[in-house]
Amino acid sequence: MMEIDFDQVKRKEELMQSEIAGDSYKDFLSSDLDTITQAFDKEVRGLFQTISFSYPSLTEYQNDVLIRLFTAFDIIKSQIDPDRLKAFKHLISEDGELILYRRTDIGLTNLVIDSEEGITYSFISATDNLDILNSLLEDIDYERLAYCFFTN
Amino acid sequence: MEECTLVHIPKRLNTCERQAIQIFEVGEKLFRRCTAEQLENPFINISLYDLSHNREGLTGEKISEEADVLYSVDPDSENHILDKKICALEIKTLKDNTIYFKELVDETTGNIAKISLLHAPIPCMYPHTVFQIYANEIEVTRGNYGGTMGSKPFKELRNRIRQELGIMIVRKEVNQNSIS
Repeated sequence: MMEIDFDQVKRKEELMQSEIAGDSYKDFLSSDLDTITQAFDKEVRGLFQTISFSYPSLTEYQNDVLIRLFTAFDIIKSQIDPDRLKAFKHLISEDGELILYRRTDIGLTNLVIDSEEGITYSFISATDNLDILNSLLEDIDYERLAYCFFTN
Repeated sequence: MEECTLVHIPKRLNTCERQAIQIFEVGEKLFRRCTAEQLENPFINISLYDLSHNREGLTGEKISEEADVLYSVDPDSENHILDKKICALEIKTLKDNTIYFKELVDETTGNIAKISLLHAPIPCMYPHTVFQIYANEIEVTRGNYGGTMGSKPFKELRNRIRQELGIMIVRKEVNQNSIS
């Protein structure tokens, strides 16, 4: 599997968000982002692109988290029920948070990616008090987060 | 209290001279209007102000039916709100067996949020009841949301309240003992 250089991705996103020359950089560099996501499984890549293209106003932080999260999805894909990967939805909240969520008979899972910093993981059980609410700021274990997201 | 002037609201729902009853009971239901989006993902789509419901009433003193919550009390809108669904929440546990009240503290910022269930009759709708949220003792409203619960220092508490309200809608219950 291809190694992803997150610092490199971050630098490219900074350039692409430049007000003066962002569009020029975007054309030039988006092919590189493509190269990075080429390493993903085809299905994971498709999902990543759907979200990425749906919300062009994602912040640098959100884009960074999204790449790390999908890298984790790609790693764990072979270890989870493949249908689970398809069964999540996404939206942008009024506050500009990017939200990935799953609703099943077991409960409701939300991953809320703040526009500036921090991820909130919420699980609300459909039947009992096994609810979880975690605010994640630093040293985030994305693989663990990915497992949690697809567990219930 | 002033009189209700909306003729489409049944007289039995008008407040008239009746006083608010600030106790609730286990087993009583609260009826809430919900959009399809709120039902699917209440954690995200629920607001933290204007949390209006209708209460069912105490045993032997029922004051509203489920469908009553669809009557509009806004004189400028249609008589019935037909584009929303009804979410019925059953009260499972209460503080001192009579009230719902939670205090949430953010240890990092020192901010405090409170959630209180209040019977708040209005002229045309005696069963009108609200979950009132307070941010450091300030009542959160649509007008001050951005400067109170919607502000950055309240992010942690905002998420905990979202979780609490989300639990209510997902499990269709009000539980004083749920942990946020």
